[in-house]
Amino acid sequence: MSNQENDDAGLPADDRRAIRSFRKLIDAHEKKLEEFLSRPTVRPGMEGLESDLVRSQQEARAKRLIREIRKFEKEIARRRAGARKDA
Amino acid sequence: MMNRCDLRVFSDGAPPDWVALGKARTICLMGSAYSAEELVLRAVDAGAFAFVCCGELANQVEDSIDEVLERSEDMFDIMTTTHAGETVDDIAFFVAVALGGDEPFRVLAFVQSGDEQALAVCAALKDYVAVPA
Repeated sequence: MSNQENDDAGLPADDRRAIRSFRKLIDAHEKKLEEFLSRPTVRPGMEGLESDLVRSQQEARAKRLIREIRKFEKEIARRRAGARKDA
Repeated sequence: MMNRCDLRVFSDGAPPDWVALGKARTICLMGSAYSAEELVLRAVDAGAFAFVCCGELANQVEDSIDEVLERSEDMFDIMTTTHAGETVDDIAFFVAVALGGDEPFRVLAFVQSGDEQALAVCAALKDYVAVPA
């Protein structure tokens, strides 16, 4: 059992299950972000566009992935805080 | 575990009446081939805060939704998720409990007749949420 899972051991089953789902999504999105940052690709149809436009689209893609990860982390934090409040 | 939820299923390209639907806290459950730009933008206007993609084409569908959501920073906080390899019950739980939470919400499901997993998730959602008559 990881430290994080250990910390969650006292939470209600629904919260633990939801946290597991969000952790899985964080891992998947982090992997996607890492791959994209190491080898940025261009969206289909944007191949011939000016480099500034392509760069700005790529920045948007990375930024949105980061925002999604933060959002999943917030959901986990909300679950933990809610469970503590109810205890 | 019972949330207040309104589940509406749109099959085989049947378009929602967006005006009648109005705006509400919305999760979109996406089967295959429903990632058209217009649908994504309409759903966002109708209050979509998450697009949950399941089935064999989940990754492609998520990619096409991301492509639309990346166009404006106003849409950066809208979540897209894929659930390849997860059980139907895990996906239904994610939608109804993990995302839905305690506040009322609705699920708009966009599916095709062949989307076995998405259709099974719709059926499973009925066990998780109180669907209005």
